[in-house]
Amino acid sequence: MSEFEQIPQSLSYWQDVRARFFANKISILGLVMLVLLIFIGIIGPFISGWKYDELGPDILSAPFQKGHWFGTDDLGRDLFTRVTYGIRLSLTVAIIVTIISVFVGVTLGGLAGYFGGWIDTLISRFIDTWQVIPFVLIGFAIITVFGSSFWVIVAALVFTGWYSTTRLFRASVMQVKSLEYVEAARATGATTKRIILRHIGPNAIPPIIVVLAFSVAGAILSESVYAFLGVGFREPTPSLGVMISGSRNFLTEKPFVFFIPGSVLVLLTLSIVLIGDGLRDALDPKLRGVK
Amino acid sequence: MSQPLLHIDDLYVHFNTSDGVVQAINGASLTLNPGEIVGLVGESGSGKSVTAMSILGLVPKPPAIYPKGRILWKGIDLLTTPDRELREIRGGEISMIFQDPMTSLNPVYTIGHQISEMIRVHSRISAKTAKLRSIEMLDLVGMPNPAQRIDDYPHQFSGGMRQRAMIAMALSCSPELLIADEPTTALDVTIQAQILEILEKSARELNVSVLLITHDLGVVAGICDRVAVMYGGRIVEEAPVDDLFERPLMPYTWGLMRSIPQMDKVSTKRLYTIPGSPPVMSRPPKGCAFAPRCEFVIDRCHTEVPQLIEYAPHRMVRCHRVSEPDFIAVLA
Amino acid sequence: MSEPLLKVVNLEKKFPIQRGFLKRTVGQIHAVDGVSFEIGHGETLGLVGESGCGKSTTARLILRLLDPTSGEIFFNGKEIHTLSRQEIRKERKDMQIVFQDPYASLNPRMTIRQIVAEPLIVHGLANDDADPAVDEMIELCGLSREFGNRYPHEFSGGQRQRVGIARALITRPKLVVLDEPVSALDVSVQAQILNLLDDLREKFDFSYLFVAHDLSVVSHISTRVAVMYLGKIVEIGSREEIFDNPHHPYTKALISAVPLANPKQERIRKTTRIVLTGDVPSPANPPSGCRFRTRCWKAQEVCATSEPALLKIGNSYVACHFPEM
Repeated sequence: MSEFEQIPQSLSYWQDVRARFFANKISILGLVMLVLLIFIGIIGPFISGWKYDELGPDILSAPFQKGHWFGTDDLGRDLFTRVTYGIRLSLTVAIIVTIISVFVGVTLGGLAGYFGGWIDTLISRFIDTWQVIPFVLIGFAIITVFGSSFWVIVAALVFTGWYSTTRLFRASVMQVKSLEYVEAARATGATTKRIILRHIGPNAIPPIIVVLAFSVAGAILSESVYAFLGVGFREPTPSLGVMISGSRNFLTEKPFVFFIPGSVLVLLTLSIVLIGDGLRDALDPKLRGVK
Repeated sequence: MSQPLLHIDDLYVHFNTSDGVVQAINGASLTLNPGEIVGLVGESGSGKSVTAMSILGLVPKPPAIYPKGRILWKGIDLLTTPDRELREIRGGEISMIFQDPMTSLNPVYTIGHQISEMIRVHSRISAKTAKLRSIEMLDLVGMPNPAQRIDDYPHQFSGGMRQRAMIAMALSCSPELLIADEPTTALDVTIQAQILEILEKSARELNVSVLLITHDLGVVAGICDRVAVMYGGRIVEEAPVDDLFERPLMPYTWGLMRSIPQMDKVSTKRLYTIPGSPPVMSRPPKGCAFAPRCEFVIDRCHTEVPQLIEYAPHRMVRCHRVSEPDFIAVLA
Repeated sequence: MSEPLLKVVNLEKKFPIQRGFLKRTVGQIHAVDGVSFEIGHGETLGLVGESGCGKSTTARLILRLLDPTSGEIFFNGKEIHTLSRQEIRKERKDMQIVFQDPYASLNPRMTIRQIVAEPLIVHGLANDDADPAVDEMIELCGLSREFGNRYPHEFSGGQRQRVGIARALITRPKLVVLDEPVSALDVSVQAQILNLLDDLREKFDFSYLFVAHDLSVVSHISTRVAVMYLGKIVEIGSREEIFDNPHHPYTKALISAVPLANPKQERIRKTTRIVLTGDVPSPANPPSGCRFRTRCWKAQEVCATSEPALLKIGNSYVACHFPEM
């Protein structure tokens, strides 16, 4: 059969995804940026020679002077050390929040999407109602009541983030469920378990991987916004948001105190968004085989 | 005969994609005379739609490139015509209808508004006259109560009625050529019959040439004067409709006609089959595009692209073996 | 006469129309409304009609991919309509389906061999996709076994449809429902698939329910034909009777509307063609009496008031007050 000759070497789905992700220069840039930032976050505190809450004699000293690579803040604390801790904190919070949100999203979204009917109506309407409540108010309420500890802030972020993953996974499951090959699987006599594990799951999860990336970036930003508004982490915790918030009073005279944590925040979210973008293109089955 | 209305001369259209160069059209030539209804038949990927879109300059470039060829509209090459002038021709002298009318109708305006708008872009008449003309056009295409229905929005029409509105809109500026790209493919067979009847009647009445693009040989048989068959980016055969169906000369046309089940010749016998699948145009065969599937293939077919030659008056064929009398006898 | 393989009695399916925040039911679409027919062993019943007539819904009801609102389905001596989900699952070994869209009906994450093997594994007839029956079926359907490890996207539409057919036949079912199996394929590939279906039926001797809108294709493959309009069968009979001597005005119009690939004949047909006016009414609000009356040239008062029953005329059954003789 000569018609087969033109078919190129067979690639499994994930081989193809990997090949296409690594062919995308922009997302590689994102990946390199993120790896660098994480690397700095891990080794930074060991090489800077300062503690994050160590008050030094030099107040608002400019970068690259007196042993402070990024300078110092208004209390004389080493900005480099604080920023590296900020990266750790931001990523940790964001990843935990995302894991919990995805767990909730996959469970509720999967239930609503697969079974439909009254379960779907209940969950969907609950989300509709939930999302009209302004998220900052929820955050305020939670943190006011329970104080601004690590887990309270994680909880506040999950409260404001769970529904978007739920909606997305619901949509993803519904879309895959309506495809003919799922009906075909039912027609062969496959059990519900097999249909979910072999047919719906593998095809509904990839869009979620993309959401995962964007959700991490979103949580990092939300955490900073909370801190900036004074309802998130508080001094002396070295969160990027806390640092940006603290720089407000001398923004004009010593802009680096603002720009250094600000840039790190931007780079961190940007790198994750770029990776997410690359993943979205790599996972899109419509673009399969396109290099 | 006078100057042809449209003359496509050795047209090549390639697409630069990340998967390589897709050679959608590889030397297509076709002539259309005033008042003629010509069918352009082909399967998916044969290049029939790209040909149509190229006439109207609707193929985005990039990714499309035109390495060679001309599209002469009354002697002017449309491929080198500036956009501004092309817009004048498009919708004015040449108009088009598509498979899915919803993609070309704007959902937020009434049908009447859209037809009037179309008329007023191309001719200077008052809004009132344009409205009257819209009603006239809708009446021509058999829309019941046209005077009321012009105030309806596209979603209030059924699929068949939308396609009628599209035909009315396409004909409203008195074009000289109407390109119909699979106009009935999305419709049910009883509605298809209505639309084909209206398309032919109004085209003949207004003396408009039609280039009817379809994959359905039955549709072509019913209303066309002449038929061109496309395969693998080239016209492989072109003939007056009766001749083509009576005596196809290219093995692809011949095979296609024998492979479709015919309702009037009910039989349980096996159908003739063309083996394999249509070519992938990012890796087209080197010689004749049909060679890998052809049962009459000779060595030369694999290496050399046959030319489109005039086998008999008005009968163009692209096949190496058409000069062999024995071969022609087999096809008959 | 022996028991038919499949017997459908008064099958009905209503879909609710839901609106608003809490999805209240505001109406019903009567997709299938009292459909009855039989399919004998080794027979092919063609089910034709235009879009929205309920032919695909009927096919899915028979397989219980959708649950009927009412009606009875007897298959192979069992009452399909009363079976539980568990029981119906086992029954699917004997009743399979081939879908219209060969691109959508194959899971893109599974290899050809995994796809074809799935029914065997599901019914405990094989442990994995290495079973020799899998490669055998792949080859029987005209594909090379070497391509078993490839993914659907690497194949053309016709090849994918062969995979869909192999999956449907691997458990050697007694009834195969074909839902528009060739309408998404290129014209030059359709004949390959139709011949394959013919060959396989001869080899395995099962029955087909062939759902299609293309009358030419149906005329080729069917032994009997049922014509549907707005959820009802308007005429059912042998292929010869339906195509040579249609009794229902709709059947007549449908056949006359098909364009033939024969210009000379077309010119004659064009002069006598019955071009139906108007569109198919909405199944949410069908006309009273005979549902075809709004487009029928023979309609009279009685057609609006009383619904015609399916009665024997010649060798066919026809639901019309004024059938063609």
